[in-house]
Amino acid sequence: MVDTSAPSRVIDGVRAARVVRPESADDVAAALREANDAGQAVAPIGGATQLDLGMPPTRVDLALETSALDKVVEYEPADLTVTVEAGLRFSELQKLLSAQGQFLALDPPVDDQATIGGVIATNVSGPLRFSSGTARDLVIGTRVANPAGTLTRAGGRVVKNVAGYDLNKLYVGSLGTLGLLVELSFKLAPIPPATGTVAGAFADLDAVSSAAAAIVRSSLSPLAVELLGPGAARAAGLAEQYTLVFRAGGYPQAVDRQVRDLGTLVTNHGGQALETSDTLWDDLARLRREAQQRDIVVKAAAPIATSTALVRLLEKTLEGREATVWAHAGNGLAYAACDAPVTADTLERLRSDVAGLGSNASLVIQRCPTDLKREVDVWGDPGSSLPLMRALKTKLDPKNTLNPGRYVGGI
Amino acid sequence: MAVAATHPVIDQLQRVLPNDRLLWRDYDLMLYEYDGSIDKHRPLAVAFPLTTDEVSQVVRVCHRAAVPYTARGAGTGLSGGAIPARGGVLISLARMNRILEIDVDNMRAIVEPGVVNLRLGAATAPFGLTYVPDPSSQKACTIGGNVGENSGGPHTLRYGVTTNHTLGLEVVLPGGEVVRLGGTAADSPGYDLIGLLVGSEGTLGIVTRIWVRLVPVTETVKTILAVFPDMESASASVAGMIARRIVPAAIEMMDNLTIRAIESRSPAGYPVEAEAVVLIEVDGLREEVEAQSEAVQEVCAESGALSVRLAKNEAERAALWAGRKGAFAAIGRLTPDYYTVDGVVPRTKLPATLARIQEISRESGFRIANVFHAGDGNLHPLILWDSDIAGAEERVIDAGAEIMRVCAAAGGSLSGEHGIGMEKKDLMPLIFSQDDVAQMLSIKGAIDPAGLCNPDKVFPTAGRCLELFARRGRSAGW
Repeated sequence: MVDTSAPSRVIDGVRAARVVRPESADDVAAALREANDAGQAVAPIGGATQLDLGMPPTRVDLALETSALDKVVEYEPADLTVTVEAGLRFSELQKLLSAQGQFLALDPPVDDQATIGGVIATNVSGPLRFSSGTARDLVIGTRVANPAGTLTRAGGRVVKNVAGYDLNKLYVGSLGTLGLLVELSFKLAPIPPATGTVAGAFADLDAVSSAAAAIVRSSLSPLAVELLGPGAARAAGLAEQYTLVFRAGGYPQAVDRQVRDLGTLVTNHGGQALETSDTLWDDLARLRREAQQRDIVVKAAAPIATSTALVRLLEKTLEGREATVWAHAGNGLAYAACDAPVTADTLERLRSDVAGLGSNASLVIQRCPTDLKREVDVWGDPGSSLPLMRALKTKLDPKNTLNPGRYVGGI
Repeated sequence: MAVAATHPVIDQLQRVLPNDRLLWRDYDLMLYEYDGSIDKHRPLAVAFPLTTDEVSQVVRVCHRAAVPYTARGAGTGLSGGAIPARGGVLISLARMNRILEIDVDNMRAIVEPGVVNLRLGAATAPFGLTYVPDPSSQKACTIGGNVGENSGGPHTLRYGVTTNHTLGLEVVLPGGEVVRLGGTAADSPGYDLIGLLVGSEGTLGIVTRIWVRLVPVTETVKTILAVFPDMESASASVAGMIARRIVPAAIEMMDNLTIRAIESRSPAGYPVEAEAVVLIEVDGLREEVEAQSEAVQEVCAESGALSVRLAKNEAERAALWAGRKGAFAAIGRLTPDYYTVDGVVPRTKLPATLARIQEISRESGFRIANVFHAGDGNLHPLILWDSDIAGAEERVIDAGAEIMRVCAAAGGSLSGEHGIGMEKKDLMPLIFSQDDVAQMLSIKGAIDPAGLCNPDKVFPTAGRCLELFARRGRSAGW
């Protein structure tokens, strides 16, 4: 079971004493139980593409890799659902589905090595969340290995299901701190018959704000509404201006109409419609993936209507650092990536400015040098719900075996 | 004449709530012993708090007195979620019914739990926005109840159920503490406790405030009625749509018994000789709806539809839907009682499952009407029965359980939208292992260690548990 060829794993400077790569869910559960019994700390690892997320682990005795769990358990295209093992690469899954004219409506900025389990455990998302939601809206079933060595399921393989507690939601984005995902079921979507892209350049953010508001509230319902800061626009091969980019999808005649109307809305709000094509989305995906590799990456969340205010805040705070700033402007989410050094004070100030935009606005530092994590909590303060989160963690992982110290509130 | 309160907890509640918001006389309590399901149990008292703080105080009183409590919205639930299974205090949220804010810019609304579903839609319509989940009971059911049960409705095929539209919650936890989860901004860091709470059937706390997502009203809607010679070809049309990459807003199916019931009560224009009708709704941009409705009509014709009709105007459209939404009530006119079953199967298993349900009807001697959300495989067999006939209740419950076994064996689920409640808790071993249930129960234990928050729901009765899991064996999967 132990694959000695696996590379050693280092998370925020903490090296795993051992690495195992089990080949079945039963073996994952056995390895986890053994570590749990021995009082060892376990770091679940998928494709190891996002190990920077979270606080430094207090310990890592065992890196438990899922990449050998890469089977498709069940795929019946006519059901529009799929069940796969958690170690299957996200890119492989999409390839398999697209052969049947379907896809998982999730487009996170992850590398080819990323596994579906890792994508779900980190709850990453992309532009499509405007129309399709996030992992929580797509996962319909999970199977996890628990510290005591049991394997448990929640949800199922049907698209509508209220039997039992929806533990799927708890596992999504839990960074493997409650249980280790070994199998997942998803609801799928058909690939739209046609797609189109509209981009508009704007001289200032106020114009962007009114255009975005009009479009988000219109019945045009694009698939995605993205905002690029001038630097991000340049990196995507566009003019160095604030740029709104929309994706339309559906039947060809509907896409034509959307492209036409979205273009008109851009112009009516003082924007300049740009010549563009669907390949712009590949450029944007690459841009987001590359940005994730910079020293510091932050994600800010606030009410939808403050999307442009978020962008302004990120730009102002990181001025002079050639930050790449972009936003899911229909969701109230903005990201910034730049190179070090950025001080803890700067990030704390940014966090408090973001908090001023809405009662549950938040700033998560998705990536930064380990040293900085000693001065600033990358997750921020989760508020009144922390005791509840701790109670769940204590119950499901009483010996604090899974990813100790890496999650919200020191969990 | 004053009647003495019979339980010390009532005295304590009287210190928290005025007398006009507290019921404890037996006569008053009778109304609150049931919901839309078969089970019954009388509460000790009914409390009508108006604020979060009052809910918290009532919960604290119960907690201190070790008396169980159960939250209730409109009592339209179909699995016994709002029945005080072990007695205790029923906490009615019906009077916390204010829409606190409609935030047009951020496409959110903040509501109290007692707001009636349909009222929220009516309040947001003038702003060109809508709240999507539309359970058939939407004229009466409350948003708080919808959150408890994770309610669906016909239009959830494309747009999701309550959990997909709930962005924030204020919750009174079982100890009486108040927590706020999520809100107007997305992606709050930490575990998705909203996702856990929605659909937990009131067993993990009492929701006192809800942040919901609003979406723009669609530009155009078209409704199509396709008439089929049998359920098989009707089912084939559903598979055909999926294969042609069409996901309509809704696909609803009704069988002959249902059609006749509807047409004899308040005619919706369904042909009474049809073995099955499929109601399909497509919405979106004009061009999209045009193309999609053509494709849908083609698929229906190819699947063997006897006729396919597009509603010509809003009045016709409304009539077609009125038939579907009034189907349960129409069935009610055919029979002294009916038992609503809720199960889910993968879409491809619909024809075989419907055939088995027909067999169960023959074997049990009960007529069974089928009216359901075909697009997502969510069946609603209605078993027609008469509670005056001795022994009938047990047999009708057995027939329902048999249908559940069929759904489970097809890889489906015990409930798509009505919940497990009291009704199906002992059937949970059909789809979950003992470890699966233990995992869920440990969540319950972490949040409600005293076990007073809506007890005896969702999970198998302790005594019955081992026997049930033993019968399940190791072979059953999903």
